[in-house]
Order: sequence, then structure tokens, then C-alpha cells
Amino acid sequence: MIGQGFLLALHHMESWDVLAGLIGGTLAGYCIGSIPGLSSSIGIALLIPFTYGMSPITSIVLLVTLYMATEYAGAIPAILMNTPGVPAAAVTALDGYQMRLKGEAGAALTMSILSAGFASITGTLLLIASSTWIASVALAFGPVKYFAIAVLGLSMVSSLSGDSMLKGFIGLFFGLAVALIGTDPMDGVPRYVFNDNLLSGVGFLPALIGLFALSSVFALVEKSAEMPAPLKRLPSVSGQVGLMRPYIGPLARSSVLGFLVSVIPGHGATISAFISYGFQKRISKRPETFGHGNPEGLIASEAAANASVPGALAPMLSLGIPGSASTAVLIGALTLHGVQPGPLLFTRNPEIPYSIFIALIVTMPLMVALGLAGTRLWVRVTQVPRSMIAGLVGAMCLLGSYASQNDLFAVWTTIFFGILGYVLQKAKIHPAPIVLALVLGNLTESNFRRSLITSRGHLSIFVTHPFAFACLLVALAVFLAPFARRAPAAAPAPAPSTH
Amino acid sequence: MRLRTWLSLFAASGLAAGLGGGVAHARPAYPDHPVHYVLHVSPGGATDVMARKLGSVLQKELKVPIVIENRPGGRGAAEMAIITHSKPDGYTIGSATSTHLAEFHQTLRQYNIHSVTWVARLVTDPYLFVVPAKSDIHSMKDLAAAIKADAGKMVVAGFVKGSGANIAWEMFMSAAGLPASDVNWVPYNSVGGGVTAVLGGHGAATVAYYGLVKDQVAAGHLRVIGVIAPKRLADLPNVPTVEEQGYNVPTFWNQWRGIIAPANMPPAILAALDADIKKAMESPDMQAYVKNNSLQYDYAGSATFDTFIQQQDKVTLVWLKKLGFVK
Repeated sequence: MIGQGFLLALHHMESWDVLAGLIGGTLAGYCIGSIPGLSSSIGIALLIPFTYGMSPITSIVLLVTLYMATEYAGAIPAILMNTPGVPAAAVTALDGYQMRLKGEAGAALTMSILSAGFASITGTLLLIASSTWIASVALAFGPVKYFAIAVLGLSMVSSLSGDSMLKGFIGLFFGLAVALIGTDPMDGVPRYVFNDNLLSGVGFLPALIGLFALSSVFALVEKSAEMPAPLKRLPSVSGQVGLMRPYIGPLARSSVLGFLVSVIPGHGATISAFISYGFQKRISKRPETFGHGNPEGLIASEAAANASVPGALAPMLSLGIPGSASTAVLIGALTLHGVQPGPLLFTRNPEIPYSIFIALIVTMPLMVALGLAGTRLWVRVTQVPRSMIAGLVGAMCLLGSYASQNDLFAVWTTIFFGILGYVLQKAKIHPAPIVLALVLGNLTESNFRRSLITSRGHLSIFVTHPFAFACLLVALAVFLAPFARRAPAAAPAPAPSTH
Repeated sequence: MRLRTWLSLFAASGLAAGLGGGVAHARPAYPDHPVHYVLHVSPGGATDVMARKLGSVLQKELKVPIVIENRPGGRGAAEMAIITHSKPDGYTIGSATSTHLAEFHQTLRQYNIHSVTWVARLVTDPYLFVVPAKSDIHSMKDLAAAIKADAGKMVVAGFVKGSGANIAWEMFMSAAGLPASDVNWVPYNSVGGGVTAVLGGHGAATVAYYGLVKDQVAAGHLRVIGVIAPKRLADLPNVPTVEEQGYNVPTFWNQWRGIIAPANMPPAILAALDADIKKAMESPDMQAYVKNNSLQYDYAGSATFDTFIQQQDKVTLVWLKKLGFVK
């Protein structure tokens, strides 16, 4: 059955057009992904009009490879300039940028592309093995379970807070407050809308660009007189793979976790990356080095984000339900070509899912080769004087922010959050918990309220669902763990100092 | 902006050359430069994809380029600001759906149906009542009985409260003589979100469009038990209308997509636009698109569309008041 599907798809893919689509999609993905503001969903939407004249196979191959390459390429500016090219790369920046500050930009870039390659192949194999049934598992996620998962995600704040839990929570609650702005997701009533542009809420991409990228531009300007640190030698080709050897465990775990999280509709690459990062930190032997340039953190984020591409495709292929914003746009593109993703896709158009599988597998080596070769070039960015980088990145931030919404209001949002991010940096409050809250705020609120409408206001609904209750208990434990750890640690601490 | 002007000049000169070197071919004054088609949605969704398709066909009719601009800000606010601040010269048109009318009464109260010119209605999407295939509910009567038997417990998963789909549901409840509080309407972010919830067993029924449930019905996961329309849909000949089943609901209540333009448009330009959009919609290309996407081709020119809007607006206001969204 599966073998037949692959043969059929290969037959359809034997053409120069498809090959051109593969290469074109990868290259376009690298370009779109590295520009902040142009996320994979916007990239796919931008390319749809170009596919009008193509066959369905060529266009889906082009768009899927673009999706995959975009999710990786976002890591490049995140590592080099603390400027996430796509939202999930904000998590990569936590440790990736710190590695770059230590002069390890080459190693960080190499590790990120190898993690991405490994994760996408793992995710694709999981997708091929499970595509026909895993989505029905995802369907079992109702409002109660969604809420529990969202709270579990929010509890990751304790992994993102750096040195002070209090500051982490300040960031989290500020983010949740910002997420409240806009039209109420249930009743359509405006909340804190002082300006019509806020009716659809504070734009996520403009806020993200401001908090991470524009604020680091301000920080760069501050130090613009300093000379760039000398470039460390890049790992040789043979050393590149060896670089990953100590991290096989985190790599495999994060790939599988990223895939599983993103199978649940609505949980895209960003949530996968956050959960995987938090999980990896929790089980790491050196959790205190996370956020200070620990490669484990970089790998956890990159692997999960890239495994989420095949993950999000699972509910789309078997049920026609988008697993992420990008797959929602992909569904639009497919229907335009007369292909309806849904329960009948595998019987009606088997060549479509199988050419997606093949495209995902074939793109991987291409993407990795391009990434490894490109690292030698991109790493030179660290040698460019800071003032020039600041100017270029600043312009890119504002341009990217405008492009994400086609609206000047988005630019003002970015400037506001850029200044805010800079002030928070001075107060040593990290932007990551704010981003976490912006990603999960709406999901948490809507599903909490949906659960309560279903139960007619009885909170007991969260206890009677075993899976949800377990998630909530774990989340509570994760929230409290740092406090519990601190208390006993405080007591024996003076003991060694007396020696 | 300047670049755009140059590009459009370039495009226009190319077109003139294409029309036989601009020989004594008396072209009407409108349109002689690109038309901007402003959308209230982000790229990629159903409304966007259809508008882009229409744009590519319409530019052959109008013989000038159509520039698609996505202005998703403020749930229609950004688009309305552009439309109401542009001249009614036919060079700025916009997308509209039934949601615009509800917004005029709720979040965008500075506008009303007289703030724009209603140029044309393109397609409609009737509301369907959908249940899981394994449910015991086979008709609207069964649905009413099930609600009554389980008063206050049934969960209906659907689009946000006050939306067209929600109003369609309330219309049925009221026609069946059931108090709204007899079911728990659990709101989802989109009509598709409600369908997903019902597929996963998190709701006993939903209100959806045909395109969203077509394959699920064919695959034996969902069942359509009624449709709000003047007559049965050609795609669903065995599904009786809600009215046929004895419930008196307004049969014109549906989701529609149309084109708007700035208010007070000169009749000559309006007539030219109307005629060209109709020609574009009737092209085999657009007809195939409409059919593939399970939409109902339901073109209405500006006069008919305007009357239709007044009727829809009245009903929208009545129901928003009944549901407590408008005082």
C-alpha cells in the first residue's frame, strides 16, 4: 500500500518542473525565513499566485519545501543577530545568540542545521508511519485537554526566567495582559481597544520583532564603538558531524516531542520549540547554563521546530484540519488546484500525500548542504562593524513588521515593543516569557471558557478528565519546582563556604 | 508610491501596444489605470484566494491591472478606512462578507451600510446543520426533540456568538419554540473549528458550510440534516431545507461574499464595474472555481445587492439585539 503510493508519486514527480520546484522552494525558504516578519505562512501565501500555472504536484512540492526551509532559516539571524526570522527561532535565540557572543557562531549555526536536518527526517518518518491514524488521536483533544496542555506550556516560564523567577512571572503576566487586548474570542466584544487597529489584538509578529530584534539593535548601538570579536576557526567538514555526538539524546527526544506536540491542531512550531526547550532544561544535567549558550537548548529548540513541519502536516493530510497557520494556507493552495485535503485525500489523490513525503525527504540533504556551506558565509556577519549591523537590522525589523500586516500600525507596534524590550533588558527581564504568554494567552483563555460553558460553570470538569488533570498537576509541579529546589539549596549552601 | 506609478504606466503602455498600437480604438475613460482591490483578510484564506482568482480574471475584462492589497488590520477597520477615504472613481474596490454588517453594529459603529457602495454579490454559502454520522439525529425534528429531552445539556460547537452561523442556529431555536438557554453554544474561532470539534466528539451539532463538510460527509463521518435556503442544494438533493421540515426561518439568511466601493459612486462607473465583474464571474475559469469550492454562484448586480443588504442588515440588527450584543 505504502510502496504503491511512493511509486505512484515518483511517477508523477519525474519532471524537471518538480525538481525546479524543490530547489526553488528551498532557496526561497532560506530567503523568506531569514527575514524577520516573513513567517512560513506568509511565505507560502506570497508564493501561491506563482503556482497558478503549475501542476498540483509541482506547486505542493514547491510550497512544502518552502515551508520546511523557512522554519530552519529563521534560526540564522536568530543566532547571529538575536533577530528571530520566524517566531519559533525566538527560542533558538535564547542559547544560540549567547553562543555567538562567546565567538561560537560557526558551531551554533552548524549545530542548528544538523539538528534541523535530523529532526525533519525523523518527523517525516513518523509522519509516514502514522499519517493515516495519528490525526484521530489529535481530534480527541477537546477544550479541557487543550486548556491543560496550554497551562503546561505556560508553566515552561520557570525554564525561561533566567536568574529570577519573579522577573519571569512579571514577563509572563505582562504578556498575558497584552494577549487580552483585542476582540473577545468568544463573544466578539472589544477589550482595551483604544484604536480600531487593536480590534484584532496586538500583532504577534510586530511585537515579537520589537521585543527580540529591535531591542537588540538598541543594545548594539550602545556598544557600537567596540570592535567585533575575532572569528574562531570553523569546525572542519569531518568535525561537523562529530560536533553532534554528545547531543544525540536531546536531539532524538526533541525531534519526537516536537512532532507529537505539533500534531495537535493549533500547536505549531513555536509552542513545540518552547515545550521542548523547557523539557530539555528540566532533565538536563546542567540546567543553570541554559540561556547562557548551552548547545542543548539550541538543539532542543531547532529540532522541535523542524519536526513540527511534518507534525502539522499529519492532521492536514488525513482530516483536512490545519495543524498550524502554514498548513491552513497550504490547504487553501491545494483547493485552488482542485485537490481537497481531507479524509478522502489518500483514496482520491494518493499522489499528493506521497509526493509531500518524498519532497520532505529529498529536500533534507539539499537544505543541510546549503546550510553547512552557507554557514561559512553567514558567520562573516559577526565581523561586520556593529554600527552597520544595527542600521541594517533596524531597517529590516521595520520593513518586516510592515510586510507582516501591510499596515503602518504594525511598525508603531514594533517600535513600542522594541523600546519596551530594551528597558526590560536593563531591568534584566527576559522577553521570552512575554512571547510565551503571547503565543498561549488566547489558547488558554478560549479553552478555559469553552470548558466552563460545556460544564455550565463547574470547575470540576478539569478534575474529572484524567489526562487533563494529570497535565495540570504536572504544570503545577513545574511551576513550584524552582521554589522547592531553592528552599533546601539555601540551607546547605553556607556549609561548603566554611571549608 | 512613485515606483508603483511608474510600474502602472509601464503596464498601461504595454496594454495600449497590445491593443493594436493604440489605433483609433475609442476606449472609454474608465478604467485607464490600475484598480486597487482591498481585502479585509490576510493572504491565504478562502476569501483571499477567491479574490486573487477573481482579480486575475477581472483584469482581462477591465483591461487594466488589478492590484490586490491585503489589509487585515482591526477586523475590517483597516479596509473600511481605505474604502471610506478613497474617491468613488472606480479605482478602489474592496471585499465584503456578511460579517461586515455585524461589525457595523458592534465594533465598527462609525460605519453603516450607507458608508459604502454595494457593487456586486458574487457567491453565497448557505448554512447547514451538521451532526456526527453516528448520531441518532436524522432530521431537524430529531434535533429539536433531542434538545428538549436533554434541556440545558446539549453542547453545540460553532463559530463565535453573534456570528451569522450562530444567528442561523438561534433562528432555528426560536422557530422550534425552544429557549436559547436549552443548549450550550460553545464558540470556536472559525466555522471550521466547530466542525473539527464535532468530528472529535466535543459537540453534538454545528452550523457549517458545504465546502467544509463535503468530504467528511462523503467519508461517513458527518451528516447534514438541514439547510437554510429557498430550495435544496444541487449538491445535497436528499437534504431537505429547514423550512421544508416545518421551521419558519428566513431562507435568505446566508453567508455571502461581495464587492464594495466608496460611497456615492457615479452611476456610469458603477454600471461599468458591475457589468465587467459579472462577465468575469461568468467566465469558465471562475465558474470552475466556484464549483470546485462548493460555493453557490449567486451573482447580484448593484441594485439587487443593495436591496439584499438592507434586508440582511435589518435581520442582523434584530438578532444582535435579541442576543444582547446590541442595546
